[in-house]
Amino acid sequence: MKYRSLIIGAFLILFSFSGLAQSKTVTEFSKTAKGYNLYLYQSMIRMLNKDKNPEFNLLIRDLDHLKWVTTDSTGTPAVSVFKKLDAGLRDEGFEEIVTYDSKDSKCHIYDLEGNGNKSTWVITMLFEGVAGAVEMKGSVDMKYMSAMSSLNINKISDLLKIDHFD
Amino acid sequence: MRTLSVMFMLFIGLGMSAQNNGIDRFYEKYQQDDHFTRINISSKMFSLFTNFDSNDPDEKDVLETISKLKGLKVLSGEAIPNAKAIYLDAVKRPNAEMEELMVVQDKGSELKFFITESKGIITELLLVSYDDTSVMMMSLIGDIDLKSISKLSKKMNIDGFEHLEKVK
Repeated sequence: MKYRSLIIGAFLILFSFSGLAQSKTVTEFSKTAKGYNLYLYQSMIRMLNKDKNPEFNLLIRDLDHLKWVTTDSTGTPAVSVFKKLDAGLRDEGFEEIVTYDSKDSKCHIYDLEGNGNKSTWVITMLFEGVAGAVEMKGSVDMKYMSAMSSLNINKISDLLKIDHFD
Repeated sequence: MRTLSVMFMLFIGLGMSAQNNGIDRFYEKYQQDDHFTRINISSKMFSLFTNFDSNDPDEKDVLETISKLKGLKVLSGEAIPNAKAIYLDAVKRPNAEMEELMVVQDKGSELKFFITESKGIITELLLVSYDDTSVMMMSLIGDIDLKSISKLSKKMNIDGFEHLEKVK
């Protein structure tokens, strides 16, 4: 349950804020990663509106996509991949704004400030021998943040098939 | 409950610009020790909560409390044979400017709160505790109202902070 909560929590944090450009580090990582390589485009995210709440659609109208990329768990050197992701993001000028490091899992949230109030957000994760990154392109309208309650969390965990991390 | 606490800490994320708070030397010392869980949330993360709004008075209180925070750092160790020794070292002198606020003692466990005040405003709240083989340090930076923090921690099930209710 710990990993499921951690992943969903981190996913929600990323989803809650805004992003613009794409990280070169994550783009390069997605070319070689052999685990999940999941893109959630706006049309798909709209389907996660469990209450058919019109404000949810307003919330995500400028969101292009969420990208979820991981290594597989079959011998991939996850720790070194995770460190490489972190180093790459720092080299790109990303600032680490949240750190969660424990023996079993790690989760770092990075921010890169863009023009105005917009930023690019990337989360790096390490758990159960799997390293991964979540990136958001686009932005969400904070005026409609309360509509986040309409997000279907169970559908997200089904999509990510993360029950085995419980 | 532990998961909830971790999630809370993640959600209220910070920048912890102050480098000389009551937890830093331990945070650095146990950086590579797998027995310890480390959480650090930056001021930037907290500042994002100023964008949120709610019509619910309880939620409004929570958001207001969070938006006044500028940093959170947690160091939590499990299965530590010398947990008490680490605790005693930490409470000896967490920071020259800090003063002890409260002690809660029980058999095999102890908890102490420290604060740093500046011009009548609490700018740092430090919780240090041990229980058998576990030890925990949590530092909150910002404009801190003890009652609001106590209420917030109650909602989020964060152990230890409920004792702040006793502060008049």
